[in-house]
Formats: sequence, C-alpha cells, structure tokens
Amino acid sequence: MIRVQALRKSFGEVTAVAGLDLEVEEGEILGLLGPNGAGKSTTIGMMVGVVRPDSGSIDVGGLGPPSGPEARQLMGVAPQRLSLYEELSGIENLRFFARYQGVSPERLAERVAWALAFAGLEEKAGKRVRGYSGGMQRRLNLACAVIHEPRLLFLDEPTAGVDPQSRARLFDSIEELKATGVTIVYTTHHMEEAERLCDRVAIMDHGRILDLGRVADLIGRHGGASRVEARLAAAPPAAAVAPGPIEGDRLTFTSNRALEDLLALGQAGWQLADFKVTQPNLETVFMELTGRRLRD
Amino acid sequence: MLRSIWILARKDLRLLGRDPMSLFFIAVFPVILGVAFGLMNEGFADEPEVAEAVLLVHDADASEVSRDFIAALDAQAAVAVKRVDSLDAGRQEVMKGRALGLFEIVPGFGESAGLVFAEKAPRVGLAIDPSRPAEGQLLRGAVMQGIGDLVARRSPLPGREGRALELVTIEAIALGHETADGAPVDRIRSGYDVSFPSAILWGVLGCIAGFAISIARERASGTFYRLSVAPQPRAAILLGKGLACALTAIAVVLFLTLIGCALGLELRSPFLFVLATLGIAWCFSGLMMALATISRSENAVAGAGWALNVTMSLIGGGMIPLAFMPAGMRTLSDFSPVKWGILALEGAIWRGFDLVDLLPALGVLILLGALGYLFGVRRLAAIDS
Repeated sequence: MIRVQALRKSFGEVTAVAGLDLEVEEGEILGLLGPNGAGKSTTIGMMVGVVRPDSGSIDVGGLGPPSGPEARQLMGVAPQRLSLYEELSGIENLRFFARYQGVSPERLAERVAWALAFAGLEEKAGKRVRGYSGGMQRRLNLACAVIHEPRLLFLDEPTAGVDPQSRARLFDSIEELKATGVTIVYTTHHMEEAERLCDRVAIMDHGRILDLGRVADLIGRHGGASRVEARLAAAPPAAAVAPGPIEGDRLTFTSNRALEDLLALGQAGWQLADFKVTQPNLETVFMELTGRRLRD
Repeated sequence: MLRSIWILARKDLRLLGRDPMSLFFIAVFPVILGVAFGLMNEGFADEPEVAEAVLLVHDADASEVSRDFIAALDAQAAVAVKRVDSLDAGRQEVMKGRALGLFEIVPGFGESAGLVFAEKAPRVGLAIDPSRPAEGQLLRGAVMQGIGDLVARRSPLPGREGRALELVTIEAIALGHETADGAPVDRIRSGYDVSFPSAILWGVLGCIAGFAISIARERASGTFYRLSVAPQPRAAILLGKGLACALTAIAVVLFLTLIGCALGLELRSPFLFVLATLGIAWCFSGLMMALATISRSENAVAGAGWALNVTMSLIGGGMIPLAFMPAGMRTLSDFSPVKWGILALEGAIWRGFDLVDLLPALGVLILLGALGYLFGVRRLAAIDS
C-alpha cells in the first residue's frame, strides 16, 4: 500500500531519517515504535507528503508520491495533537473536513452520520468541541481522519491522554477499520497497544529501522530468556546446585525453558511456596534495541 | 480549488463569528474611534464651535494703550485673554499646558504702539507651548491683528478716522457640491465624513491582524497539518484565509459606513465607494497573507502584525492627519496603504473624486495587494519545506 525506499531527511546538521526502507502491505496495521527523536514524526511527515525528503522515494498505492492529489485522496491522518476547531461543534468539524477532503454533497449527510456513530458522539454532535472531554476529542479526531473513507490511515498516538473506556472504544474503532481493509500506520509509546493491534512492528532509532517483524518474531529474536522468581517453602536440599542467586527465601534465575526448569527443581527436592515467570515482551525488545539511555 | 477555498473561507468566517473579542476590535472599536474623531472634527461642520486659545498676558506697561490693546485681543473670537501677575507665573502655566501662550507687554509699549512714525517700534514678548506650534501661528496672527487695530486708532489715514484697519476681506469659497435637486452643499456635511475613513481603515487593520495570526494558530493546533494532507493545493489554505479576510474587510467597510451614514456621513459616489471598498479588501487581504507567513510562531506573527499596523497607520494618516506631518513624513506616507485606503474612501465620500482621480489610489492598493498575495503563497511553500 505504501513503499518507502532509501528515504533521507536532515534538518541542518541533524539527520532525522537516515536511509529508511519500509513497505506496508494492504490491510495490515504496522506499528512504528521508537524513543523521542527517533525520526518517527519526520518519517510520517514524509509519508503523508507534508515534509519534503532530501532523497529517496515514496509510492502510495501505486499512485506515486504522496504529494499528488490522487495519492492524498487515499490517505487520512489523525495527528497526535487534537487537530480540531474547538469553537466549532463536533458535527461542524466533521462537515468541514468531509467537504475539504472532497466528500460529495450527496454523500455528506450519510458520511457525517456514520462518523458520529463511529465516534459515539451522536448525542453531543451539536456541542462545541471546547466542551468535550479528552476522550471525546480523541474519538472525534479519529473520526475526522476517516470521514472521507481513506484506504491508508496514519494514526499518531491516537490514545494519548484518554481514560480506559475511551481507549477501549478507540481500539474497537481501529479494529473495525482494519476489518474493512484499511491499511494503518500506527505510532505509539504504549507497547501493549502495539502488541494488541499491530500485525507487524518496526522499531526505529536514530532515523533507521532497527528491526521489523511480527511481535512474536521480534520477541524471539531480541527478547531473551524468561525471568523466574520463586519463594522457597524450606531450605534447599543438601548439596543441591541453585540455578540462580538466593536472597533470604527468594530464588531468581533466567531461563529459556522456565516451566521445565521449575519441574526439575521439584524433582530434585526443592520445596517452592510460589513462583512467578515473567516472559519477555515488546517492551523488553524495545529496551534491548534502543537502550535505557534517557532521550531529550 | 475554488470550492476548497470557499469551504475554508466559510469555516474561518464562522470561527470569527464565534470570537467576540475579535469582533469587538474589528467592528465595534473602529466605530468608537470614528465617533470620537468625528466629534473632534466638529470644526468641519456647518456651524463650527471653535475652542478659544488661552493667551496669558503680563502687562508691565499698564498704560491706557496697553489696556486697550488687551481688550482688543480679548474681543477676538479665537483668543481668550487671562492676565497674570508675573512672567514666571505665566511661564509655569504654559509649561503645564494650561495656556497656549504668554504675551508680555514691555514698559514703554504705550508710548509708541500704533504710531506709524514713532522712533522705535514697541517691544512685546511672546512664548508658545512647544507642543502646539501650529496653533501658535494663529496666536501670532491675533497679536498682529491687535497691533493693526491700534495703528488704525492712533495713526488714522485721512478720512478713515475711527475705523478699524482692514487690509483685506477674506471670504469663504465653497468647496462643496450640489445635491441631486440642485441645492448647494457648501461644506463637509459632518465631521464623520472626515473621521470615518480613518476609522474604517482601523477596522480593516483589525481584520488583517486577526486573520494573519489564525494561520500560525492552525499550525499550533495541528489543523494546518490535517489540511495539508488533504487532496487540495497547499495554496488553497492561504487563499481561503485571504478570501475570508477580504469578505470580512468588505463587511467592515459597509458596516462602518452605514453607522457613519446614520450619524450624518454623506456618501457622494456609491460607485467609487464600491471600487474603493474592493481595492481596500484586495490590498489588505494580500498584506494579511504576507504577514501570516512571516513566521511559524504565533507570537512572532502577532508582534509583526502589531508593528506593521501601527507603522502603516502612523505614516499613513490613520493616527495623525497627514496635514499635520512634516514634508518628509508626507512623502514617506506614500508607502503606506493606509494613506491610499483613506484617500480612496475620502474620494468617494467627500472629496468629489471622479474615476480618474481615484485610479492612483486604486492602483497602489491593487499593486500592494498583489505583492502581498505573491509573497504569501511563495513563502508558504518555502516555510514548510
């Protein structure tokens, strides 16, 4: 649906994107993860055609670069900042963006009604956006991005600052869009969102993609071993070799086969009161690839 | 593209309608200015009420001639004489702005004043408030008139004894026009004829300041980003603002003119008024476009808007009438669209312009507007790349 090749962009002496290759398949949700300053926003900016790349190419749906009107017709964007007119009502915002995106007058009422239902804002449609809660504004922000039925959607932190109810509603909405075949590029700092929603995840840093793949594959490649914490019910058997350090009644160790190792401990006479196995997840992968150093 | 420009303009007009403070500065504040300046301009009306200039007099001569001279001065309509006991007291009053000038009658004045063949001319002293030099000239004229009257009394020409010296009779020449039924209109009918063109330009300046900042605000809120991704030319965003600004400027001109008419303003040429209004709308919406793209920052655009508006208004006669400016400033005012806007409106309202008279002002307004639009569109392309 969108193919990016050898994309580069610098601002003065700062290289924001340093030769990026990426292909997003039709109908998939691709997560773009990275610490602050990794180059995500610049990459998205170039993909939607508002930032001019220094070099490289972008093709949207076989229609050429995103600056062309046909390619733009395919795209929708929900920026991280709530890009709404606060002094207009929800329905006025939807009507305005629908008209500006080229929705025909014949379809306008139908699309606006659909978008209000999609965002769950039918009852508040006539109220000014200034009076909406954070969650309502986020839902409207997403609805404005899809009012013209784009086939390629860019979502930048679509759940920032919302309560769990609105977040669940947003997840449902995004899954509803995916079910209709919309291709989505999703940037977020919430790993659990990426794990839940994304078919594939690209982890970016310093303007490059460090790795790209299905979440399970990324964990397999970079997640490392599970961490096991066990509380001992009695002293270890005499002459037993502990698989890890013991502090008081706590035994901790790492393992690629945690359950098998726990069974073996039992068979060797270890008495465990309880235990906890922490499997590696996307956050583990993220930290492994991008490091723990604080970013600006 | 035209459709998208109209969609954007309509949205901006709707947003303006929901912003009471902006509406106040665009529509209400200029009315207040227009009315206030109109009241100040009562002197242009048919029956002017002229405020008397206070002239302090210290009579160190204390002769019969000096007393007569002071009485003659006081009898003049433009001067109110107030005696002071000392020069120092008089100086203090003038410096504090309580009097326009201080006149000292030096001892010996009565011996020679009004005598054409006296050995020495009488001596007098005169001080004028430094901030009111133009009115000071009027005061000098009043003093000379008083001396002329003394000459008439003390050195009469044979056969003219007892008659005031009258070197010339000045009669008013009507600058006005005839109404549709042929009745002459001798003067500007109302002070509002003069004050409202300036007030209208203030309203238009309020317009451009408000619209210019709205682009930077859209950048800050993220709506500009969303609009930029839409399948419309980027220039449409700016042109939409331009159209909304131009329509608002037209509405402001019409609204303020209607208010002016209700107060007594007389519109002499509706056709030229329409041309002037369109020229002003084009010019100032173009300047708004240039201003809007001068920076990405809301504060920078607001600051630049304030500076530009004040400068344009200051040198263009929006604050101080051009007539009171020195020659250099009047030349500089040619570069201010405010001057040409005011002139175009005055031409349609009371100066009695025909189309040829209006063309220079209209030409400057169209040229400046075109430069503004060109700069804005080019700058918008450059600012985001």
